[in-house]
Amino acid sequence: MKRLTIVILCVTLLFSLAGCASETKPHQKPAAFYYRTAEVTYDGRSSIIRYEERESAGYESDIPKLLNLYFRGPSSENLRSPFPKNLEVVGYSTLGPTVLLELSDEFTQLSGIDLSIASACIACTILSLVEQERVQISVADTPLDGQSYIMLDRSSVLLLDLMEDTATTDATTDETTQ
Amino acid sequence: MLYVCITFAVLLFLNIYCSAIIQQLIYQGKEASMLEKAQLTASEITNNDVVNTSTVTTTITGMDSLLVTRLVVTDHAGKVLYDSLGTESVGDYAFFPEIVSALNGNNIFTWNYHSGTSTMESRVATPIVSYGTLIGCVYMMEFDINQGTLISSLQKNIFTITLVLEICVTLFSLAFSQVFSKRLRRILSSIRIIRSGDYSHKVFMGGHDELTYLGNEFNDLTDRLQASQRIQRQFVSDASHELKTPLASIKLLADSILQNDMDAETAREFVADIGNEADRLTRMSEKLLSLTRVDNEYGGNREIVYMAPTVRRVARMLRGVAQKNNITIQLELENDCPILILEDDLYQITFNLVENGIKYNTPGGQLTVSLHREEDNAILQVKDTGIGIPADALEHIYERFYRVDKARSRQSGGSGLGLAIVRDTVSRNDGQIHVTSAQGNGTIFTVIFPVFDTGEALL
Repeated sequence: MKRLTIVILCVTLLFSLAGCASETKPHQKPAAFYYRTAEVTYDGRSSIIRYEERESAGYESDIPKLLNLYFRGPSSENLRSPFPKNLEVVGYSTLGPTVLLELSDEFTQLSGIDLSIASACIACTILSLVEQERVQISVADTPLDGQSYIMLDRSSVLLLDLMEDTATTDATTDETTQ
Repeated sequence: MLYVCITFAVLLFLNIYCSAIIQQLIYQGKEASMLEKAQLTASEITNNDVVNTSTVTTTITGMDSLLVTRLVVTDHAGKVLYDSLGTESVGDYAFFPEIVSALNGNNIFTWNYHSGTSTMESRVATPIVSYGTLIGCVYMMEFDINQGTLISSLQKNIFTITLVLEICVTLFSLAFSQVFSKRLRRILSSIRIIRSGDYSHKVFMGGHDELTYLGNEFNDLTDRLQASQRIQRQFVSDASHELKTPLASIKLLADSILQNDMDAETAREFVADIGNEADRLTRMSEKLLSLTRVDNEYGGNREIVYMAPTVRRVARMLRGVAQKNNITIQLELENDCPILILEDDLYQITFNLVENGIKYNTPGGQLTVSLHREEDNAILQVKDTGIGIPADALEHIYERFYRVDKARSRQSGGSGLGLAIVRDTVSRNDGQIHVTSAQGNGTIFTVIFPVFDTGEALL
């Protein structure tokens, strides 16, 4: 009986340690946060969207919190935020391969190409964080530039006219990323 | 070497400048052409009531070939409505920098020349505006191999020309510097030879450039040095000879007194002769010293001197000698003749001329000393009624130790230096001296000095 109790205690302790180990496992890959470039270069090789890498340890299970951090803007001087001030995540969920993202009303301040670029930056960032195929962005009951939502996937953003590689969501990284 | 570097830098600058200008010209032509095509397409699209994939495709299909590599039409949000490369990208968002700029209301043209592939990549984007509202944009991209090849070819040609020019300049510079250095070395070597004392050496440069002129000037200089050396040697030789003659006389007279039994009267005469020779030596030494002073001084400390008082003083001084030779001195002097001179110099000039006029006059003759002013010059004339100077001797009378009649000159105590001193002193004081003479009819010496009116500033 005593021996059985010791074995049970040991097994319990092992499981507990294993659980602790999985919870404290450091984040392997830093998050890629996509923003607009501060200055546009017309050399045919420079994209207007670039990303910087940030440590996202502790936020893996809380994507909305990570996104709210992302909306605060870039740390690199070569990048600038395409988002309006005080933008926040109102709702975040997944439906099959689609991430459903609901943003605060501030997002409706954007329209036209600025809205498209901001949406593309959000989509690229989310799709680099989670294993989903597309992102649907909406703002409660307010339409975005005449649409109820904006749907973007990995292949629907063309950043460079390179002829041989016209469809890609891979934007170049900013060298000064942290 | 510096010259080569400078030319290289200039040619490199010209090379880069020409290439840049050519590219700029091609760029401007391309910009106008592509922008016109894009704006024409945008204008055609705005004719549609509704702008969507279908209407845009129909519009572009109906247009003549635009001859571009890629044509993209987007809506106001950047969503692709038409892509000449295919329908795969229709519905996607195009965020090419040019499209983003056009959707902000700008016409934009960009170009990039790829030297590796000799291609020119041009992009243009223009907004589509309908009734004042931005509804999309037209984007065109063109790979232009012909223009790229043209630029590449021009750059290669300019580079080749630059290279050939630089090689020519370098070779020419090397050859020129070799020739120049060789000729310069020739001059330097000649200078060393002259420095060693061989004044007869000449340098032969050839050619007609500045170095040739330098060589000729150098030869002239050595000629003058040679002449100067010859004159100096001649002077030393003459001076030695002239000094030796009275010394020999003194020696002879002294020996005679010592060796012969002579009466007191004869001995007194010999001693008197010794005294005369000693006086002659003294005078000659004084004149040599005077000549040395004339050679060494350069007219410093001159002052304004009225000539007439000095001339009167000389006449007074020599009046006794003149009376002894039965010569009458007549003075015709104007008082208003101020000149810039050292008074001692003027005294010396006048004294020598008047003394000569007495010495070489005939007994009972006359010596006229006149001083007058002609315009800005003061004219001093010493005219005698003496034996005159032969025409062939006139050009030599200012040479040192030259005598027309050696026997008479020595007899009268002449040293052969008086006129040389006069000529040099007159020249040193910016004056001129002329002589006119006819044998048997006397001689006229004319000395001209510029008048220095007291109203003028002392220079």
